[in-house]
Amino acid sequence: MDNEDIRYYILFKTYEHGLALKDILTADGVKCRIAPAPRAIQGELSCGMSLLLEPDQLEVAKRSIAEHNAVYHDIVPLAGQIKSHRDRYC
Amino acid sequence: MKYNIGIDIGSTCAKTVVLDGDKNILHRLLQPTGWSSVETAEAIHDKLTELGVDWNDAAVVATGYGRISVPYADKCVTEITCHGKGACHIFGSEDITVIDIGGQDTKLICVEDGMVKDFIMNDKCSAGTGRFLEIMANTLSVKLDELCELASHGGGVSISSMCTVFAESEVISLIGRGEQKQNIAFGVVDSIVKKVATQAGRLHLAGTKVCLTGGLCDFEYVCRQLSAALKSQVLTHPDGRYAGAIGAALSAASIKK
Amino acid sequence: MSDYVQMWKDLGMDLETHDLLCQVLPTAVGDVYLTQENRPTAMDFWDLVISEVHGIRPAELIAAQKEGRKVFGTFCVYVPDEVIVAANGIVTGLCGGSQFWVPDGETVLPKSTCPLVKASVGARLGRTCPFFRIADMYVGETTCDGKKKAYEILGEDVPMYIMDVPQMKREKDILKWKDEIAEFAKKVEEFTGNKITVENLAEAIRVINEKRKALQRVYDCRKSECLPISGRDALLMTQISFFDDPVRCAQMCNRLADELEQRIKDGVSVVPAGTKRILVTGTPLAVPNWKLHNIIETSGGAVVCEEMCTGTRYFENLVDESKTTLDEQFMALSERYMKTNCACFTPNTGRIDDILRLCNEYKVDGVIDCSLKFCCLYDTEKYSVSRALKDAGVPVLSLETDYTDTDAEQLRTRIGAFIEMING
Repeated sequence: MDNEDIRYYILFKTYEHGLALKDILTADGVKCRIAPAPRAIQGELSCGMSLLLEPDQLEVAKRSIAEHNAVYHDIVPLAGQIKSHRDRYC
Repeated sequence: MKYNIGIDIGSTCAKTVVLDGDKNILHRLLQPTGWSSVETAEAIHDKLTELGVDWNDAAVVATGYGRISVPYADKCVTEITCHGKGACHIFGSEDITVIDIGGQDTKLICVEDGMVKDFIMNDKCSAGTGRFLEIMANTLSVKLDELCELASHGGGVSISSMCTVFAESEVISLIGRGEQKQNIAFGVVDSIVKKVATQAGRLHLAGTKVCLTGGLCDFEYVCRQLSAALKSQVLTHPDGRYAGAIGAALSAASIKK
Repeated sequence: MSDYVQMWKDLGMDLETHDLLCQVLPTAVGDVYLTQENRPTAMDFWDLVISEVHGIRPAELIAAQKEGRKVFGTFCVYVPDEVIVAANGIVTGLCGGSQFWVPDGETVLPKSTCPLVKASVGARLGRTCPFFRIADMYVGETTCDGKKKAYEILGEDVPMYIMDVPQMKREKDILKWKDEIAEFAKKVEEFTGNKITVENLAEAIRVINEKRKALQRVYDCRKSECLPISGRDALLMTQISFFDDPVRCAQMCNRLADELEQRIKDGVSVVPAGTKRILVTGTPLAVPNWKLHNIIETSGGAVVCEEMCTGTRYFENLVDESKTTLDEQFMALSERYMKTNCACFTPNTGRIDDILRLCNEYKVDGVIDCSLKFCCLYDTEKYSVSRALKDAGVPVLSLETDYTDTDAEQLRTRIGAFIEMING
């Protein structure tokens, strides 16, 4: 894995949990974005949303989650997901 | 900069030109692109170093379909812009129509006041490109220059398929029917010339100089046939196949470091 | 847990094949959307919708069906949503925008059919799109030949109603379209079991007008020299608007427009000053077709407007809300819809006027006229479009593409050269 390219995906069982956590993180000043969960890390979950964290936001996000007892399924690192010139469309 | 380097990595050949600060050509390199544009780019780098290029005093612009594979390029510019600029420089004219028959595509570029004003590229298939000629030469078991030489003595045959694959079977059936090689060669070149002339019909060529660049510009017969089809003298130049690289080197000269 | 897998099973979908789509979509969204910096925060809504594109909305539709409402799938901006909404029906767009569905379409259609038609048929026959499973009735229309014939094949698999769109825009054609709308209204009443009245049609007209105004508000923001939203984001908004509830759609678009208007006041732009402003015109870009926008916007251009069915043709012009009889309302609908300038009509000089007007309104530096492969109509109009633009001194690039990735490099060369050309 190319280290610089790694981002973290917070996975959820339902998008309602995801939206709730997004509000919590945003209120705490943690930068995160809604992204479709890459299929490779979804496991048994069906297609759906995840929250995307840049590496420098991981620790603050974890603290915020712990503080609010927020519900999530997993946090998974993944590289190579975001490339503007890959030209692989769907 | 002392060294303004233009690297044109085409689908068949990689062309490199080094210009000095006064836009004089110091070096020209020509090599097959091969399997890997990245390796080709590295080989070019080594050769330029051997030739004494001081990389601390050099600007590099890459162009051609392999342009993104040149890691040491300061900038990538498309081959349309580079061919336009390069042709203006070679032919000493700010108003010119450039026909570039490359390995993978054919481009027609209108330049006014030294600026690209319009351009047309062929569709993504190889009809009407250098590759088409190569494949047909191969089918006829001759080299490209021999194909052109043969064609100049032939006539009477036309290849109707635009698709390279279908045209190849057409050529094979002509061979099977016992058609003379020179007549088939004529048909092959004629089909490219007609295709280019049709494309040219979409641009306004009236009154401007027309030139041919790219790998085919060394073939006098192709030029002559194109001139006839376009009803305009098509100019060529020994540096024609370097037009893209020269344009890239000229772009490099305007990079401020 | 929102168990979409069970829902997809219940819809009779081919889960294994559908999973392949679930694999590629996140990557494409990542590459096209998450590479962008400084996106409007209101885009969160569309990021959620696209992340759950086969989940949230299909679940809503199924819930509505359980309450007895009917879902109508449509393929064209000529089909009047108002009539369906008046009868408490739900409209969902059904145009396929992915190569993923094309091979299934090619099992029954000629290869030389436009990819949008092939993908739409493939999505139904391959059972890989929940929207195509959910729709109770498909509403087709006689626009292009490819669609007309494809509807015959789709009609063997699903209830299909066809509206006869005129080919010209004379007074009698507008009257004819009014009659078609009235006849369609009868069909919708019959199918939903709900009567269309002056009151509920007036309300539906208002609702859909509000949606149009909201979309227009976002587009108006794109006219600003200070560009507050990328073309890719605006395109996603427009694409999703075909699937969403119209009231929520208007709400979300207005929320986005609020933010964009503030951005313009604050001087927040998503591109560096001097980035060339591109109008894209031609055939529709159905979701998730983002190739063209992505290539333009990663080659030094910014898309500021789409003169497309997934663009201005969808929401420009409002329906007159002042009519008080059904007959007058149908006429008002006909008059509005017949203002849409589609290449199916002859002559279609209105489209050229639209393009020239939009070039002005959106302060456009260049036009990219792009049609899907095998769309004879838009392909042929390129000639008059490019002549009119050249006469007006606007640079134009004509392109043809399909849903595959294989021509991306060729498109990058052409689009890159075009932007270099306008940069001078």
